[in-house]
Amino acid sequence: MTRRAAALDAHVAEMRRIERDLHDGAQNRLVSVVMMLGIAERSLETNSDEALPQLRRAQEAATDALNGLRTTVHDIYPPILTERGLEGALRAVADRSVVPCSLEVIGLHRVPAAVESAAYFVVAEAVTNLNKHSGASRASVAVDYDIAGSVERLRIAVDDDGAGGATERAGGGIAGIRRRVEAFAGTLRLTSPVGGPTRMRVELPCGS
Amino acid sequence: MRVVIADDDALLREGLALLLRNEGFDVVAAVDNAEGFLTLLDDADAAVLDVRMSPTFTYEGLQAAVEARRRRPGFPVVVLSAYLEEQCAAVLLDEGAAGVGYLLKERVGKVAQFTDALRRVADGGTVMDPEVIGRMLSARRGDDPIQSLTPREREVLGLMAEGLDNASIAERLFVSETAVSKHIGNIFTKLGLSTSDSGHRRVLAVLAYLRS
Repeated sequence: MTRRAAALDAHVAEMRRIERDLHDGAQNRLVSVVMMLGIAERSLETNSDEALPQLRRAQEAATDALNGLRTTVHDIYPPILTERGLEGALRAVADRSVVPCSLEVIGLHRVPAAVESAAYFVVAEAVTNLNKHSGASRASVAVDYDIAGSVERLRIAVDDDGAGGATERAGGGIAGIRRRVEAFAGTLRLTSPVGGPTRMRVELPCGS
Repeated sequence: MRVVIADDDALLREGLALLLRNEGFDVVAAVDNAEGFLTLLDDADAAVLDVRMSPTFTYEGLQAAVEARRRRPGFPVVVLSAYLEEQCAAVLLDEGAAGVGYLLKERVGKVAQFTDALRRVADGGTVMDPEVIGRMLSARRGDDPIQSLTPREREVLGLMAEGLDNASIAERLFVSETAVSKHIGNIFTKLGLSTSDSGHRRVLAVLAYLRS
């Protein structure tokens, strides 16, 4: 595959992911809002006691829609990438990690914005996860860019010396990482035996 | 009326079930996938489906609706979608237009209108979203007789295609029923349609014209 074709593929995959995020998130939640307001409206005409819980549910659904929208918009291209570039943004993630976290970045070329954004998401999500669950005393993030044959790729490694036993649950952090990575036809490998350590390896093909 | 719901979004599925139960419908099942839905046809008088469900999140609901009507010809289906496409309307109507509804998802919020639409579809009627009709109208060529319709006549045409009768159209537009009849007479004359058609047949005549 040519560089350009690969870049376009990544772009299309990213557009599709965003479209699904918006559809499954904000759009469906707003339909819920409209529906619950409709139910409340009918209750007010007949049995007004039932209207209040419906209005509260409508408000919750509207709040969910806003949260979903905020996340989707932010994840499209986090503002910190514009300000500091990928390396600077990753540095910020490592610096704010409570578990001491080292960062090594090797040969980071210009990669498509969608790949940068995905790489940032993967690292930020993985570091958040390990802070929450691993009980680790040390963590490391390594990102390098290499060319294997005609394939250019970004490789990401996130390791910690914590308790291990990390599993992939629907809707969980790791599932989110997998979804983002697979949108680019990338790969995610996670080894996390009980007792640790936990190692995550991600490869993101990039076009240019 | 026994209704089965198929939507893969849990909140929407439960909300829709609550809405329909509150309105006196017997919701026999609410499922999140097409296969499950197809096993329930014998238990239901009508179905409400989301176009998009797992695994590909494209047209599973639409395909399930078509398949349901292949297995049980005329089985009433209301297909809901976040985004309306003329091709989807065409696919649904090609299997026979009786007992078919195709609506934007958020129309469920207008509870009285939505349940009215569901009942009309269950009775063998056809209900198309005004958006679809609007799109069919705007896609017409410049030399089309549709262009000779007044804005008011276009509005009436859209409401007819939604499956409304004269009284309901009059109510929506805040005009008298006599005025509606007059508009409809003009529309049918301009488009060269038979004015003898009424009710469901009238919807079909309008849709057939719009799709020609």
